[in-house]
Order: sequence, then structure tokens, then C-alpha cells
Amino acid sequence: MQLKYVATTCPFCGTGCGLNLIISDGGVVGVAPYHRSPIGTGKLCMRGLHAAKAVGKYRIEAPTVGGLPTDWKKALTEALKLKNYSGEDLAVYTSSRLTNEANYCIMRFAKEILKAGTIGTLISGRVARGNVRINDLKKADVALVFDDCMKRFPLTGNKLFYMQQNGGKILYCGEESYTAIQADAKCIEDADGKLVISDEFKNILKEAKNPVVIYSTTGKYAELAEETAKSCNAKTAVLYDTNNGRGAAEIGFIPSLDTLKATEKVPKAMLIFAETPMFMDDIYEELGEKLSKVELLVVVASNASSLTDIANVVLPVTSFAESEGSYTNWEGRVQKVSAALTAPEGQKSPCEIIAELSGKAISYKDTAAIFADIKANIPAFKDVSYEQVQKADGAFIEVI
Amino acid sequence: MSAKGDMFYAWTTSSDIKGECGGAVTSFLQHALANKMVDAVLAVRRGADLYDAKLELITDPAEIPKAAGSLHCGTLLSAKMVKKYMNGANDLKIAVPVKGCDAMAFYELAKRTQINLDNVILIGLNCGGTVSPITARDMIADKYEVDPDSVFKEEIDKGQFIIDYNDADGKHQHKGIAIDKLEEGPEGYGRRMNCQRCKCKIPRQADLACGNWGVFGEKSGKATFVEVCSEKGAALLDSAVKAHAVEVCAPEPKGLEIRGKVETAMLKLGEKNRTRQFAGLGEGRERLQKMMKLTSRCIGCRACIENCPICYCVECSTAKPHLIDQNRVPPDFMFHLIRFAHIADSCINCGQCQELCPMDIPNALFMHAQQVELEKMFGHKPGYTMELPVLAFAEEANERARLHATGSDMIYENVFGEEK
Ligand code: SF4
Ligand code: SF4
Ligand code: SF4
Repeated sequence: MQLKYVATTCPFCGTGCGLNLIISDGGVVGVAPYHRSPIGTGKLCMRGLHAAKAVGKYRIEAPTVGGLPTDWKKALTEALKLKNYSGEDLAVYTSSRLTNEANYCIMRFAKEILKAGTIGTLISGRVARGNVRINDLKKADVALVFDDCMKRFPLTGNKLFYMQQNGGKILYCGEESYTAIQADAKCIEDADGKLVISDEFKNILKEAKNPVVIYSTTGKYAELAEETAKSCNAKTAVLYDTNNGRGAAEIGFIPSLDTLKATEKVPKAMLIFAETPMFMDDIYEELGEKLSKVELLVVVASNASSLTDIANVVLPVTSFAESEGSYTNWEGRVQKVSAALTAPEGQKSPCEIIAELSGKAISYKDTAAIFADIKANIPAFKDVSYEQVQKADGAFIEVI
Repeated sequence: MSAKGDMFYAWTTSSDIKGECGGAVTSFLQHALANKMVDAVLAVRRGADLYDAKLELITDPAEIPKAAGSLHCGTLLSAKMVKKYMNGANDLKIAVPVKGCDAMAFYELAKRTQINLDNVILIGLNCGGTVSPITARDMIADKYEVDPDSVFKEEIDKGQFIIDYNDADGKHQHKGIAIDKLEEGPEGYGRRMNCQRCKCKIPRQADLACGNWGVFGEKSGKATFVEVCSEKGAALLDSAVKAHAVEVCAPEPKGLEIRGKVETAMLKLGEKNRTRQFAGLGEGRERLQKMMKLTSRCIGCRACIENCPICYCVECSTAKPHLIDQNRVPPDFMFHLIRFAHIADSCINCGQCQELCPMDIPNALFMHAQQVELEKMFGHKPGYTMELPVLAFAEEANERARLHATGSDMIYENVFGEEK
């Protein structure tokens, strides 16, 4: 029997807790605390605790065309018909759960080769950057929290307990919620769903030495939070729902779910990289009707879902436990993701798929080489050292 | 031939083993594996850096010297891993180096038939306490004013937490600060809170109890103090001596005395810390209110249950919808009451439920405070013998009658010591 730990980063929210996958005889059997994580110190919420099950049971074993299993060669040829479309007829959507390296390759392919009119991620919300580090939240004297962030991002939220212990105060704005229970004072939205931030809150923020406003990019009150922070001169912690939402945004992917939901003019061809770990909502279900009108829908996914059911071409891809690279958490910390397992036969990593689709035009010898290219081309990453990313503390994009 | 109760100085004969104090533990593990006394060794290995400890199952004897003897930042608990991922050692013989809390956890899981101790050799390691990695790093930066990445060795000795590091000029430096100094501050530095309260310093529940306390005279720094605690331990020691894997000699009388003094001092400190920490909880109603307030941070993630060496029920009461509304966050206080009622008699103060609680609820402090009271009342001491827990003996009818007769609704006597 074999049993060992492989340290990696949680595939769920943008907090970026480190965890150990327990590997036994070739499979991931569980999760053990990774006490050395600078973010979680070994603690995990229910999602992280079950990261071993993030890879669902319905792995796609072989590429399919028109719903029928086929070989890679045929499937790739079929997928390359995407080239028959361009501009606004063609959209490339990635997943903000994939690594920075995978997303960088996908971005290059979408821009340089497909010249797609729309390049985004299928998440809602906005792109915003905070200017405070997670552990500095402990040192704030006032935190104004929106949208039940303490529950949605437990290991970000717990820093506020340290803050409270140091004498800091939690103010809360939003619906009745878990965070409301933890708060020292709260403004609750009224029955019509209207929220007014009290002047008292604003004054407390203005008078505080070290105030911070905490909100999520998909929060109902993201805009209000942003304005309040600005007008009260507070720092911001902007939280991302997905493990690499910040990374995908830095690479240039725009959250496009809301636009796609609203539009009548659906692009004729689409390439979608889907990654929906277990316990997360299947965002594609409500898009089903819209997407079934697409002439050519190419889906790259590790697990069968409502999306792969309607795709013209499905390319099976490695899962999070089989990919190496990095994620960027909400604070801009780039952390290592380890390949704990070797991919099942017949599965390729996102970067390998891009290499094949691009006829080796976008192809790298290893993850370090992709990272070097990211560093050279994506401004936010220009000072990040690959060596530092490999270490337990990770490395920060742009110094605050 | 050695026997239970015998004590030795022991040291390795292998030049591959660079043990700090004789390397006997590494030799015992390697010997047990090489001679097929066990199929594997569940060892602690250094992960990302000095601060990171991870478990690994080793089957190749040549790999054993690479495992760390002790990492003071290794706060993990091995017993639950054996239960969860190694089928409770039912079909695999293993040797495991254990701290006091690990040893106690092995016993508690064994008495619940979750681990087969017949297949396990426990090599006890004296433990003065462990420091969580990130706490250690913050403390080194703040109190020692040293870059945590420049530290290459840490130890707990003579009441101090000591680091060896390279300064800016690359010169080797050595710095120690008294542990009680570190722990008295408001920052929460020093050992984990449960380690501060721990009174299992020399784990004699193990088959051999090993450490450097009491190694005196010419063997100082070159041998491990070994106390034989079971027949299994005696057999391993004898076999290792016979194969010349280790050499032994009788301990110095002065060494025995020193070891006794170190242990007594540690136990006293543990008792002092219990008094201080439990007093911080207040008494009676105040304590209950404090517990209710802090547990209202709970998100119901069940990390406390998953990691507790006492919890093993397949159907946990806290997961039953008729007892606890599974959708409410924070869950009702009953969630915590169920845990208290079910396991407080057996809590071994391993600290896992606190260290791994995402919402930083001092669960272990709450549970341990109750265990100590229950021990006073029922005389049951968890973690040291195979004696079954208090609740295993409770007769429901009798308990109800007794409860009725007290005229109060307290299951036990007034645990909170509040005036009636
Ligand atoms: S807080 Fe986020 S990153 Fe941490 S364990 Fe939970 S889901 Fe994973
Ligand atoms: S209740 Fe907590 S401290 Fe006690 S044995 Fe369980 S995990 Fe350890
Ligand atoms: S670990 Fe903490 S938050 Fe999770 S269920 Fe236990 S007490 Fe609640």
C-alpha cells in the first residue's frame, strides 16, 4: 500500500487555501490539512475538505463528435472548423477555475489564431482589484462587509475574528445572514430589497485609521461597496468566487455570463473550456436553450454535464488534480497547483489541447516555459518569480 | 533481554543516520521494517520547508533516514489517518513514531475497534509541545526579529524555543526565548493552546518511549533515552540490539534524576496552564454564554468531527435532520451540545478540532475543560489504557432515575461549578 501527501491549492473559492491531497495507490482518497498554507494554516471549509471529490464520477473517457466516441485526430479536425468563423460569430469562453498557464494558452489561441470576437469567462460579476492582503485584514480597525462574505469565503472571513479580538469592529451591509450574526453593527436591506448605508457607518469608516471594505465581484452590492470605499477612503478586499477568477481577469478574460444571458444574438460558433467541480452549480443548465442554437459548439471538459450533452465536439481534458501550474487568489497571490495524479489514458491537459489545435504554434516545453511567457506578456505578472511561486508562500502579482 | 520498565541509553550504529541525539528512533523504525516486523512505517517527513510536516507511508528501509525525527511544527495527528485511509491497520503491520496525543488517539480508536493495535508498533517521542507553522513564522519574524526563511533548525530545550539561522552576512546565529515569555503575550505565540495544557509528556502508552531528556554525561547529545513500555517494545529493542542496529548502555543515575525533574516540571506547567486557560472561560452561566457566543461562528463544516480521534460513528447525530436543521448556518447550539455529550468523557486534548476549525472556535478548550471535570467525577482517564469510556457503562434507566432524583436537568453534576 502507498500513502503520501501532495500539497496543492483548493479548487473552489478565490481565497486560495492550501491543502494536501492524500494519494493512495494511484488515486486521491482524501484531503489532509496543509498547516503550512499562509492563508488557511491547515483550516479548510466544507468545500476544501472534500476537494478529493471535486472530480466527479462522470469522467469523459474519449473525444466525441456528434455525441459519438471517436479518436483525437477526428475530433480535433472537427473542432478546427471553428476557424471557419471569426469576429462576432465566434466566442471563446474559458473557465476561471483553470490554471493561469492553461488560461494563458487559451487566450493566445483565441486571440492569435481564432481571432474570436468574444473572449471571456462564463461567470458573472465585474473585474476589480483590491488593495489589501488577506492577513492584513487581521490588523484593520474597521471592516465593512457586504453580501455574507464571511460565510461564502470562510477562510477569508475568519481573519475578521482575529481583527475583532484585536479590538476591531465588523460592520455589515446586506440581507440577514451569517455575517450579520458575527457583526458588531449592521444595516439590513429592507423588505423591498433596498439598502441604505447609514451615515454612522460612513463616519466610522472615515474616522478609522485602517478601514477596509470587503465585497465579492459577484455580490449584489459590489458597486455600492466600491463607491463607499472610495468616498470613505477605505482599502478594499475584492473577493472572487472561483479559485482563479483574479488570474483569469489579469490575463484578460472578461466575465461574460450576464452578457450572454441577456443577448439575443448568440455567436454561431463557440469554444468552451468547462470546469465545474462537484458541489458547484451547473451554470450551463440555464444556458442550455441558448447554446443548443449554436452551429458549432466545441466543449473541452473533464466531466459529463448538460453542456457536453449538447456539444458538437467534446474533448476530454485533465482534471484539477492532474494539472500543474498556478492559481491567483483574490489578493493576487500566485500559488502552486500540483499534479497529484497522472491523467487517465486518452486525456490531454488544456495546454496540450491548445498545442494540438494550434498545430504546435502555441506549444511549450513545460509549465515553467509558459510562466516565463506570461511574465513577459501580462503586465501584472512582470515581477513574479516562478521559483517563488513554487514555495509555500507563493508570490504576489504587483506590489501594493 | 529487556523487559517493561527497563531504561537505556541507545544510539545507532549506522553512519547513514544523522540523528541529533543518537538516532535510535530512526534505527528502531528501520530495523523493524528491514526485518519484516512491520510492512511499513508511517513517518513524518519534511515538506515544503522546515515548517511543513507531512505524513508518508514508507516501505523501503533505505528511505527511513530521510524522514524527520521530530519537527516542532508537526501538529498533525496520525491515528485518525490510520483509521481513515489505512483500514485501521487491520491488514497491514506498521510502525509509527508518536507524540503523546498521537499515542492517546491510537488507544481511543483502538478501544472503539477502529484501529488494530496488535498490528501497530508505537515508538513514543517525548514531546514538550508543538508550534503551528504559521504561528512559528510570525513569531520568529516578530519576537526574534529574524527572517523565518533563514532558519535551518528549531528546537525546544530547557524551557526555550530555540532557532539556528544564518544572518544577513551568512553567519550562523543561535537565539532562544523562554517559552512562557512567548506564551504570556496577547499574540497567541508559542505552543498550541492544547500543548500548553498537555500532561502526556513521555508517552508510556507506546511500546518504547524515547527522547533526549536524561541523557547525561559522556553520552550527552549522542544517545537517545529509551524506556521500554511493553513486551512488543522489549522485543523490538532486543532484536535491534542483537542485530547491532543500535547499541545500548545503562543510563547514568544523574540522568534518571534529570529526566524525572524535566517531566515533573512539564507536568506542573501543564497544570498551571490548565488552571489559567480554564479560568479564562469563567464559570457556570458565564462559561455557557461564552461557549454559545463563540460557537455561533460555526459554519457546520464538520472539520472538528472529521479530525477528532474520538468521533468514528458512521451516522453522526449532528447530521440527523430531526436533531439539527442541516440548512441553518450557524447550526443550532445543539450541534455542539451533541458533541459535548458524546465525546467529552474521552477527549484526549489533541487540539485538532480547534486548530482545524475554519472559524477559529476554541473547541478543544471547551471539550477539554469538560473532560477534566468528568475525570474528577468518574475517574476515567482517556488515552492511557484500553478501559472503555464512561458512557459505555451508563445504564440509561439508572441514569434517568439518578437524574430525576437530583431534581435538576443536568446529566452530570453541576459541571460548571455554579452555586445552586
Ligand atoms: S475558503 Fe475557499 S479556498 Fe478555502 S477551503 Fe473553502 S473553498 Fe477552499
Ligand atoms: S474533542 Fe477535540 S481535542 Fe478532544 S479528542 Fe476530539 S479533536 Fe481532540
Ligand atoms: S470545525 Fe468549527 S466551523 Fe466546522 S463544524 Fe466544527 S465547530 Fe463548526
